[in-house]
Amino acid sequence: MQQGDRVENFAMDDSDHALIKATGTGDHLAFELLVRRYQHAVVNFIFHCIGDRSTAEDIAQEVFIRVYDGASGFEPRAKLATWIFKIARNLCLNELKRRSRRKRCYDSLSSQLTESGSSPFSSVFEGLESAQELMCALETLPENQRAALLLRVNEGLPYAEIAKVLSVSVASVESLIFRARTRLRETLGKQQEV
Amino acid sequence: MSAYVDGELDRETSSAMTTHLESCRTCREYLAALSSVDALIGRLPQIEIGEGFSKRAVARAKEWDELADAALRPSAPSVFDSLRHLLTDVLDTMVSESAPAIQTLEEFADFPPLSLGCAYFQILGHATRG
Repeated sequence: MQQGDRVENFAMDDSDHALIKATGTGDHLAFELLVRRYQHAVVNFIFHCIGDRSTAEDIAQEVFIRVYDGASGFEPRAKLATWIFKIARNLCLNELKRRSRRKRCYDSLSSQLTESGSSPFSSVFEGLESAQELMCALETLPENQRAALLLRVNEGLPYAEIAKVLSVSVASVESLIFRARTRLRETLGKQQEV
Repeated sequence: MSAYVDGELDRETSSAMTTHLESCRTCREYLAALSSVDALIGRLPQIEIGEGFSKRAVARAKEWDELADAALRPSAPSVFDSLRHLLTDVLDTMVSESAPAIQTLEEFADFPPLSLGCAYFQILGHATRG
């Protein structure tokens, strides 16, 4: 069987559990497919959590090497996406703590958008001037509310899985997401009024 | 309301909410506002991942394997180990050479009791001990 055929077969047929099991035996092809399957979601989750485009990919690489390192001990009953996002969220927390010490959170994104003039995303938002405003509104949320909302809306994780990622109860997730939506609605409403 | 948007309510509660929304304009507007927040979140800027990302991840995994193999494999004495042993020997020699100097100083402390020399070395002894 050709390498390309094997890639197609892996990608089409194999479940997350088959890929992580093969990765645990040191199968680099399975690992690459696993990375490709989750890279977009993981990188963008990190990007929206920390607000820094350049660091997001570096942290995502760290997430995947931890996945590779822990693959052999992965508990088959768990959901792979939940485990991966839990690692990503923990690394985001570490990064945010590091940045809070330096008071640099979101500065990078702001400077990138300011330097480039108008945002390429500005036309997308009705009533909002730029993606920067939306990112800044997101930044006003406490980290756990932001992570819960992103995991629900962008990744479509059910409350029970989000609860595992954040290590809280399902009721807490419901509360976090409700408060996140309410607060964002208020923040964005104020921006639209200005 | 938020759980209703996410389809996380049980069937009975969800059905009751749907019935309520049909007759409550305020709740319908609130629901629309929550949904519009989700629409905006869905339009956040996205990073497009290039082909190189997964290749870099695999390259790092291979490096990881090499490091793990090196850590498990019993290795022959390296140049670094030889240098470390040499440095340790030199340091041991220096320490052993410095020890007699203190002993030599102490040999001069052989003064009669109540003499000035004895008092001096007692003070010196207290100072070094303190």
